[in-house]
Amino acid sequence: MISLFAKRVGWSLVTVLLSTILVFTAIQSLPGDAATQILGQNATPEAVATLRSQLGLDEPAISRFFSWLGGAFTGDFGTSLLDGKSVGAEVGRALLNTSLLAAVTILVGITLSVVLGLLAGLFRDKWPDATISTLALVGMSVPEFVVATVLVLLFSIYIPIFPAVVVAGQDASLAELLPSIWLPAAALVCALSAYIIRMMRTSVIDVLDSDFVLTARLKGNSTSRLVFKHILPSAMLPTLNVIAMNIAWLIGGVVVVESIFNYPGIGTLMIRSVQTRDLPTILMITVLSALTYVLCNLLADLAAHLLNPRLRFPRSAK
Amino acid sequence: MSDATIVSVNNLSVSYTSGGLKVDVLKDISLRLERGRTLGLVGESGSGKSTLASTFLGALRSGSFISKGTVEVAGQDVFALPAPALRQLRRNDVALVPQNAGSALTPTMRIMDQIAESLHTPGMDRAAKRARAEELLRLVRLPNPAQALGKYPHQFSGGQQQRIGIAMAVAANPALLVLDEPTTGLDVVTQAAILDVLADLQQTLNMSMVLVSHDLGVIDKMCTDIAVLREGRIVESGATRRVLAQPQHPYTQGLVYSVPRVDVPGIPPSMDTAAIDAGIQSTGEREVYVRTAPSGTPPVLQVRDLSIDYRRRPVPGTGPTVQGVSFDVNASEIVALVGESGSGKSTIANAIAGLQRTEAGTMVLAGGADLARTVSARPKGIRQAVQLIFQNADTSLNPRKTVHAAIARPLQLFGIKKTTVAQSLAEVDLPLGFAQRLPGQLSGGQRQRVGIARAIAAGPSLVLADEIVSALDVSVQSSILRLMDTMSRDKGIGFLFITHDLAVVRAVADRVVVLYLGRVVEEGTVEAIFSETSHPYTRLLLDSVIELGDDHDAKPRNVKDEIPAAPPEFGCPYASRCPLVRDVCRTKAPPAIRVSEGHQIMCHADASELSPSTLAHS
Repeated sequence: MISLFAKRVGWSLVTVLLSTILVFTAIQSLPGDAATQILGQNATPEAVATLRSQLGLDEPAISRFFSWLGGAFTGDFGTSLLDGKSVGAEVGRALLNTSLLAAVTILVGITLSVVLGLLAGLFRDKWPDATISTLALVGMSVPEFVVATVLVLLFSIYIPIFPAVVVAGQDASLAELLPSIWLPAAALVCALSAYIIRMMRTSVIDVLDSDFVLTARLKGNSTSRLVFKHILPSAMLPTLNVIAMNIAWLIGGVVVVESIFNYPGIGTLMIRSVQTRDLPTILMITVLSALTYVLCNLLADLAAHLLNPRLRFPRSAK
Repeated sequence: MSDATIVSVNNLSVSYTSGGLKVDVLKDISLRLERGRTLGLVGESGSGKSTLASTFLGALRSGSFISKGTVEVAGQDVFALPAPALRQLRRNDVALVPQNAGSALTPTMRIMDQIAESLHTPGMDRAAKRARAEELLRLVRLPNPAQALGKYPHQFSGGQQQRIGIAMAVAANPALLVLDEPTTGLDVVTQAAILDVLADLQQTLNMSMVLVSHDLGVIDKMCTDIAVLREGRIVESGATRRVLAQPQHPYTQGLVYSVPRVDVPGIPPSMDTAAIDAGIQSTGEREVYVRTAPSGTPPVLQVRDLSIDYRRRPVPGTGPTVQGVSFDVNASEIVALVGESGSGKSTIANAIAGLQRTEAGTMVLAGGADLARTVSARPKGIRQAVQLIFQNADTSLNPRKTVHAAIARPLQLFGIKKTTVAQSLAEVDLPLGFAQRLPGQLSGGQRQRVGIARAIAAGPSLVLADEIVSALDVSVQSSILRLMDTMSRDKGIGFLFITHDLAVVRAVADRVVVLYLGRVVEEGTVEAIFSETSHPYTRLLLDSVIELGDDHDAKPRNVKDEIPAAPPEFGCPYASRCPLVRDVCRTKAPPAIRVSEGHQIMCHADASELSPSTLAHS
């Protein structure tokens, strides 16, 4: 099992490396670079050339990539092409903000959707299932910017209890941020829960049909014991991967929600960096999102090992 | 209801609604079981026997409902009980041993926790529960009970899982134990051992039992009372011995007569459903069809010194999965490959079919075509010559393709012009109208006929038939066996028939190859194999068969049914279980004893020692 995980970690690193190469090439093939973006359309070719050599953009792409890669390995992700600040510090701050948002979303979202999915499965085709399934379907089909807008309309305008946008900007403190994370978190929970609920419901229904649940019921077990001991562990297994994918999506893909609420997280930073072709910042965000994906999947596998004795104890030859 | 009665069913009808129509699963059932006795519920699939048994636990399949009558267990009207009282009944009075313990044990819970759930004595702490659970596992003769408590279900073999299922069921000392096909799917030796455990438990715990089975031999051995069900009604009931020895109802007669016997050669008669519906009594004679073995036909398949190895690297002390297997299948001949699960019979069939790589040895078809390569690398001619029929026709036919499409496929693939789908259907006695049906619209026996038609349509010289009747009711088994007989004679096809059912082997096979742990231990004509001189393993298999009308008390009891996980590196594979074992058995591969022409036994013992009396497994 340890060698299996060592192998998985190895492949994860390869995945991260490949994704940085992909993004680097993609940015290179876009028309324009940081120099043209900073100086604008009316800049003279000479000024652009000067800025390029200042920023080091005149070196060949391959050598730039490798010098960036060398730095990245030592923890130095370079300086922003835009303002010359350390990329590490800037991305780090944005990541912290996004993590706060993500933590709240995950905690509320996962718990809520597992519970709702379980209820929908247990009360299959009855009113609780109908209600939950319909809501999940709505959550799935309505894009999150619509959900976000509706939330703002309801809770910032009609009933003004939450701020509509974050005013504080990049350097907001925790105290400044805290009141304004609830609406973006709610919007994210809506988007994230739908898939988990549906997966959980399906897998609970599958498990309910199994012989072992019937046997456990005919042993005279109480309903709570039946649900928590016999049904839940088996039903969680297929759901784990969906949860992992959703968490990963959350860290990498909060772009839309963050920019609606002007939340100073990774998403907002990424949009800005792409607009300005700020390659070092984009690359670091890429590395981070790739790492998150890989890490979430690793964690899901680990959790599957804990939940599934068939993986922990392969059938021995006696 | 008196105290002496444990189960009382009164005018019970169970129904479900389908498309606005009420369909009865059980009709007007009444029966009574006294304490301490065992009731056998017999019938074919769809007869309602499992539905009836589950009502004793107050359980119905979802969608079904009681349309009439009552079920009383231990003096309580089961379906009138409120939920908490029903739970109490299930905890204390009635317990179920499910058909397949492998899927009935919760995969994510340790054995200890699953048994402890059923221990309800107040004031029992965890240590006491552990001690009790260990005692229960010892009672069902599970090896290493203390260790087993900490393990998960998947870490046990099928027979062991069934023992755990039984331990779990009797944990609360139930007054009534309901067993739904408790040994179906287990090998004969394991089945015999499990039934011994159950008989002992009933004595020790003074339980009443209800045993659901399609196997009349098992019912005959275990049950004092019997109820025969057909299409949701009890057609005959009474004392088991009397009902099975002198069946009065035409259906019971049909059931009893259509069971193949180990001690009688030949294919039993098919059940005549039309006559039963008309209420026509059987003549009382069991007319078997005895097949004549072909003589002097050339071989269609020659297997020599076949070895197959599943191990990635050699494990000290163990040998390859299959080693040194040699046999022939001649044209028109039915050769049975016999052995328990894990004996390598399916592995060998897969190798011949080209689904499994071989390590050493040769497999050659008539005309010298070599089967060494796997199926994707075989030329069309060879793929055409070797065809398969599967155990489960319902899962091996594409549910979305019509019967016509299934049979037409090999005709197109191999460019066969002289046979049509209509002819193929006629050959397996299916009406032409079936061509447009989907597999889901056919019965089990009809689906198996389509499976045979599909294989035969390709015009093969060799057909691999893997347990083709084990999933079928006895009433249709015979007709499928007859079909195999006809095909072999009319078309000169050689059949390799893989099965663990010795009675079916006796009915239809010409020659038999007995496998143990991937090695041939005995080979010979069907009469030779069922004769007095046998390999100790064949003797064990024969002795473990439970047949209708046997003297069950005279059978060996509590035989060790544990098969080693892997064959030994040296010597005889059976050495670890053999009653005649001697030192040489553990070091040197056994020589072939030629008992008679075409009958050989691989054994170090003397031929005179290989008789039933010296081999008694006591």
